[in-house]
This record gives sequence, C-alpha cells and structure tokens, in this order.
Amino acid sequence: MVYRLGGRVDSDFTSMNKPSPDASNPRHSSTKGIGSQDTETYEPPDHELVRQCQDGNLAAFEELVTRYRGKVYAMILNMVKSEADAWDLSQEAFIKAWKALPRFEARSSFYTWLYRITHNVTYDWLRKQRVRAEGEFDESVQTSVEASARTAPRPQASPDEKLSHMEIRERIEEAIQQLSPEHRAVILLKEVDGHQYNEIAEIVGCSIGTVMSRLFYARKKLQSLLKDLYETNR
Amino acid sequence: MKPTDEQWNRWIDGQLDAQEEAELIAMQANEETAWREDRAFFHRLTLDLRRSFPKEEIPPYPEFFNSQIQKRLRDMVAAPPSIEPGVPWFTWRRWFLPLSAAAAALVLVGVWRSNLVHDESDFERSEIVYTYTPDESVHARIIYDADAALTVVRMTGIEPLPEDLHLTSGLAGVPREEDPVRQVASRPETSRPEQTPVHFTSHRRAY
Repeated sequence: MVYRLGGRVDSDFTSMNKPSPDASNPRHSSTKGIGSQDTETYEPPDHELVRQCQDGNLAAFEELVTRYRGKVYAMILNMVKSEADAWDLSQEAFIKAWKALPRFEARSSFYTWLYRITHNVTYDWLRKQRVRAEGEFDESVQTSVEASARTAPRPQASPDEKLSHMEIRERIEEAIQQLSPEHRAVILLKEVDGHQYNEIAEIVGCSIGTVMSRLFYARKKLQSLLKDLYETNR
Repeated sequence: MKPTDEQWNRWIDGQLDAQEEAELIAMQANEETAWREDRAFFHRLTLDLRRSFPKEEIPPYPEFFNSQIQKRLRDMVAAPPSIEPGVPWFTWRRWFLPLSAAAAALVLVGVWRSNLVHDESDFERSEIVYTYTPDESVHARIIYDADAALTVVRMTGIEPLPEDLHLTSGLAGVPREEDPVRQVASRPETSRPEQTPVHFTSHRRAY
C-alpha cells in the first residue's frame, strides 16, 4: 500500500522494504520520467500508521509489516539460523505486535518496540528449544546454515579470497552459536543492527549495566574463540 | 584500578571522548598496546559480523508473508473475543518435518480423506497431508488456504522444480513405477479421495 498524492503507484515491494535510516519520519519520494509530470508518493510516518492500526486499520498494519519485515526476519534468522523457523517466528512477532498495539503508548519508537517483541518471541522459542535439547539430542538447534547459502562471495573475489571469506564466516557463525541466547542477542543488536546501548537495554528488557556486562562477556568470549582466525588471516 | 565493563565497551566502540580516553590510557599505562590491539581486533570482527549476518533480509515469498498475516488478523477480528486462538495452523508442519537423513532431495506427498462418520447426511472428513524429506537440509511445509481451496507444499533447500514437471505426467523419461510422486498423484479417482489441488513451490536463497 502506498499513499498517493498523485501519479503512479510504486508496486515494487523491494523499494518499500528498505526503510530509511529514520523510518519514523514521513517519507516523500518523487519520480520524474521523460514526458511525465512529477509524481510524489507520501509514506506516512510510523506513528501515523500506528494510530490507524489502533483504530483497527489492517491496511495500515500491512504497511508497517512491509516496512519492517526485512529487519524482523533478518534479526530472527540471525538468532535461530533456520529460514523456516525464522519465517514462522516473524509471523508470530507481527501477530503479537498487532495484539499489543492498543497498549502501545509511543514512549519508544515503534521500531524499538517491535524489536522488543521480536526479541521476546525469539528468546522464548530459543529457550524452549534449549529446554527440549536438554532432554534429547536436537541437532536442528545448533546446525548452522550451509556457508555457501549464507552470502555469496563478491563476484570479483579470487578463489583464495572466496575460501578465506567462507572460512571466516563459518568460524564466526560457529563462535556466535556458542554464545548463550542472551549474549548472542546483545552482540548481534550491537554489531549487526548498530543499536545504541540504551536501545539494546530497551529491546532486551534489562538495564544498561546488564547490557554492558553481557557485551563485555560476549566480546571476550568471541575474542578467545576467534583470536587465531585473525592471526592466521593477517 | 581496573576499568569497568562500560569503559571497556565504550573504548572498543570508540565512544569515549578525548579526556575519558586519556584517563583510561593513564589508568592502564602498561597495557596500552594490548588495549589498542583489542580495539583493532573488534573493528575487524565487526566488519566480518556485518558481512556474515544480514541486517535486513526480505523473507521468502514476501507477498505471501503479508497475506498470511492479514488472513490471521482478519480471522482474529472475526472470531468471538472470548475464544482463545488455538495452535497456529502453520505449526502443523512441525509434525511433518523431515524425518531422517539421506542423500536425495525428495518429498513424498500423500493426501487422502477418510469418512469418520458413515452417515453421508452428516459426515465429517479429515484430510491428512504427509511430507517426507530424506535430506535433512530440505524442508517441506504444508500451507492450506481455505479461501482458495489450495494446498501448497513449500520446499526450502532445493533448486527450483523443473518447469516441465507435472504431477500427473511426471518427468519425461522416468517410468511411472519409479516415480513416487506420480504414483500418489495419479491414483484412480475411485480410490483417491476428493482433494484440493496440491501445488509445489520451491525456494533457494538467492544472493
């Protein structure tokens, strides 16, 4: 759904799926083609969509889903390492968000609030998996995605470079999987998503001191697991 | 005096101002080199983490992703508020997840109906869909859309199915007796229950 002020509708979902750095601000985009008039689309800010959702507007919620599904799915996928589970959990996160929206008071940004719900859904799932794994061997929990399926090497990379990148990626993924869900979440929120300490605290639901402590532990653990990697790849 | 976790993290992240940094270095004068090596290590690790873990990734079948959320929300809105939602339909697939490891990426699908009550004026029926993927890297999930009267088998971890594959005619050159999919799909109508169409889709991550 794109709110039109005039002109054509951008139906390419990929262009809608990349939120601007500040997705809470209204976004305007214009296109100008040969022989055509200026067209402008208006993408309402999150808080406006949230208000419409609170009035029961499902179309507004779909716009929010489209806006954040890429981030939510990636966040979960990074934690659970399974596309099928990440897909299901992403659905669950958005359903929970819809249910909780009437209680959303905009004390934080919608984005941070949604991340917190996503984190809780993922953490609950991982905790259940861990409990289950304690009683039985469940290899799906720790199985990492095939390295070649994660990220394609740069086309211009030499075969040696490709191998090196794949090895590094595999080692890093293994190391991350060795962290507890609590430490994994904090390190990924900081290093991959680029959140500030206070945002991480809000998402994870703990104090900044706890974030610092978890981050310190996670980093030291990764350092001990990966130190040789950078010595050999120097 | 040992620096706190916060000071160390902020040092690594380059978030100390000049004065704070000078104080910290003075505090750890003998370990300044080690500290600088730590920071270089984590800068490099951050770059590799960002290469390895996407910050944003469109879920497979994004339009279907949206439509399923909308469908569930519409169902929720339509349902009486006193009724707690049951087990989500998509968790069915967990019962049918791959059962063992083998080399081939093969999925067998069987659908049938059993009349639970023989009185045709008031019968109920159940349709059961089984999936079996010998290769544990292949995942199959069943998606049923009542509105479209459509059952979709979504597979992840394989190459797209050949365009010329038809469930009833199979792949050219493969004898029927060696093609389990065709055997299931082409059972005679008399022995095969009424069923909704089964569509296969496949997905492989593309980069």
